[in-house]
Amino acid sequence: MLKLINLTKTFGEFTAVDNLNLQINQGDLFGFLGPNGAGKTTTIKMITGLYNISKGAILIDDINITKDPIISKTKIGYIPDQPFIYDKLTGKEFLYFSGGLYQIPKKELKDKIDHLIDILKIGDWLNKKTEAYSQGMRQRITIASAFLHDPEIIIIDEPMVGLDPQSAVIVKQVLKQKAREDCTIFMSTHSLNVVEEICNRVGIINYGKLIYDVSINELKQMQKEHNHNIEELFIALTQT
Amino acid sequence: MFAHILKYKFLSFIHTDFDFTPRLLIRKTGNIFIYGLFSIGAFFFTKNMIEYVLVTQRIGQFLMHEFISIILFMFFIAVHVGNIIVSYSTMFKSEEVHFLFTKPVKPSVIFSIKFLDNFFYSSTTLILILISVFTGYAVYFDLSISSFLIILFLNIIPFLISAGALGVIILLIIMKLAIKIGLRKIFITLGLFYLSFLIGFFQIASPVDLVNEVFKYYPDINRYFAELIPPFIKYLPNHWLSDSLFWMVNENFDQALQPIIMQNSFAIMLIMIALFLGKRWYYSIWLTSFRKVHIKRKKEQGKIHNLFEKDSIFKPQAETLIKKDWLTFLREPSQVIHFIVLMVLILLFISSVSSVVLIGQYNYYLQSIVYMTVFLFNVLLISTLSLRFVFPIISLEGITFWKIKTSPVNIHKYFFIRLMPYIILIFIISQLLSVFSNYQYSIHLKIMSALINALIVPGLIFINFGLGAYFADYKEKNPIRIASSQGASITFLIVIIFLVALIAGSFRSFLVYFESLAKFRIYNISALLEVSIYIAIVSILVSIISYRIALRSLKKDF
Repeated sequence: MLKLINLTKTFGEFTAVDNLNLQINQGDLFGFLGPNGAGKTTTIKMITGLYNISKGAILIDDINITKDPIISKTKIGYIPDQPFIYDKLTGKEFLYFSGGLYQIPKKELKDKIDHLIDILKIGDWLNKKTEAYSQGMRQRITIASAFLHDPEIIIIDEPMVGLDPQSAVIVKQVLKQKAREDCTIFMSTHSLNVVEEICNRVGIINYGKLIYDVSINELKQMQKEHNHNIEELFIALTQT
Repeated sequence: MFAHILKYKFLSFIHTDFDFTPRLLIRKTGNIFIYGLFSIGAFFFTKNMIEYVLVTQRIGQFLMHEFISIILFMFFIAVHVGNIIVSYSTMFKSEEVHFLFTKPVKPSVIFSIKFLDNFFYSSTTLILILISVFTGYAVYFDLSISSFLIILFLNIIPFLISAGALGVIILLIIMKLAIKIGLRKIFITLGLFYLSFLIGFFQIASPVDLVNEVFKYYPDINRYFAELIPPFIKYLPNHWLSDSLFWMVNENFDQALQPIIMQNSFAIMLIMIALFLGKRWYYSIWLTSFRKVHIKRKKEQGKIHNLFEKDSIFKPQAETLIKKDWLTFLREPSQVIHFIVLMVLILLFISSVSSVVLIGQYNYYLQSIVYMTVFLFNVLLISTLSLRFVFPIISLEGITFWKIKTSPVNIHKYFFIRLMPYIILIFIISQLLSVFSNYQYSIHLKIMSALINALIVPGLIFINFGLGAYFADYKEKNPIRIASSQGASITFLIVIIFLVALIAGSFRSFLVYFESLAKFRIYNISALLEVSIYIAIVSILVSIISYRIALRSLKKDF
């Protein structure tokens, strides 16, 4: 379970995330929406420990990430919006590297990598240096690296960036499967169709404040009431 | 178009460098303070050094200017080679070039812009240092402001431009030839050429021969010994600079004019050649370099063995960090080539240093200075290694650092794993330097030197690591550019201040030691022990402060 309590992030005078309160339960696939600059990535970077928290707290299974960052990080798998990986390593080396950071024994790691190669269909170019990879290839490698240690919570920032339609289908299937396995997924995205297709809960953030936190069914109900498609509804909600 | 692009580059510089947030203001003030401190130090050092060689050692103005010429020659080569390396990444690997080539901008305009970029990037700090040094020079000789401005604008700047332009010309030729005969052959040929050029220079312009020849005319050694300057040397920019200085100091401006004209004509000629070659070759080389990289990558397919799959004696986390470092180091050519070059230089130094230290025997004051100079040189070598390889450690993690930062890695453990290989390597090198530079001295001095070197190494490594983390530039992938960035220059200046503090605190004890040795007195070893305690305290303090800086820097938002 992921809990954000009065979470605030300021950069000088500017408040990027303002008193955010959220609880994402086990098995939830939470879509985190918002216009550019709304505070989505800032929130994610605080959850993953890349940003310091200005005020409030983040709890992962009741563990405060500021007080116990090492244990809380073992529970998180993070997929960033830009899939930066070491240019001079091969994809496979990067996966071994990532697994090692989570202290996964070598035999177990090898099996997991083989399994992920199979699921994410990354075997063809895994032994090439990643400097030769396309954005989509890199993205699939970072996704695989986030799943290696079987995290309880997966944090994803824009999962579909740079993915071709085949890869996007694979990723969506994997995320749905993870949610079925009781994994908590917190996904920031601009792709409203993806949210509609795979999420069971949606939060909308604007100017750093959470303006909506509804189930996907409630969102669909709102769509019907306003007679909007999801893009129009999103624009209407974030303009108010 | 040229002016238009320059205008926006200037605006971008203004916005990044003059945004006065309180934090940035403190940082900028700190930078100015360090530059200021170093400038004052360089000013007084130059002034006192000139006084020492002219008044105490009485070597005469001619010899002094010939020594300046030799130092400037080394400086020219260093700047020139540095420019070859830096201009490669400025001109061929920069994202900006990629962007500009997709716009309707002439390749010659892009080349000219990057040429200027390269000069300002690699020469600004050097110009600042040279200004301090030559201010000390001008003040000692009581030169007028106009003479100083002539030295600066018509001598030093053209001299640096020549070094930079020659670097760019050589780079273009390397790239052009590499397409046809391969980069490896070019590098080997070029390496051999530079080595033979250096050896040839010191054979022709041997400082020892020059000193002996000049001292035949003692005490009439202040005049200009034109006949002692080998003809080949007369056509080098370092000679034009030192020659014009000699004549300006002697108020013979007519004689000073000729080398100044040569200096400026040479710089203009090299700029013209660089621009001409840039116009002809730049775009085609840029395109080909991409194709070559692509072909190379294709060839590499299937060659790579996964080192991570092999068993290890370390725990998974330590193993994975060590192997990642090892592989990323070995697969980056600039890291390997630079490492080999530095190791060769260290070996050359080690092989010659044991005889140098005997200079000044029976003159305990001179011997102390020679000993401390060799000691300082040893430490400067170690600090160069640290600056080159330790300073970029954090920056080289790049944006991919997100992976480590979001993983359950203890930051102290991470520091330990990252630093330990460098500490071991640099410690071994420092001990080798200590052994060979103290080879001719007593056992007391050998032990003390080994101890002092061992105490200094952590200080130097931690300064470079701490400030490398503080000035981390995660977007820069070229380790040489990182090690020659503004942050690296400031770090080097701080290291110099650290070394001056060490020398200032220990010189007297060495002086007393050599005095008692020369006068056959029994020397109380406790004074040398006190030196090591002093150095240990300074080094530990510096290490703790630097470690804390690294810690704080890594806890900042990423």
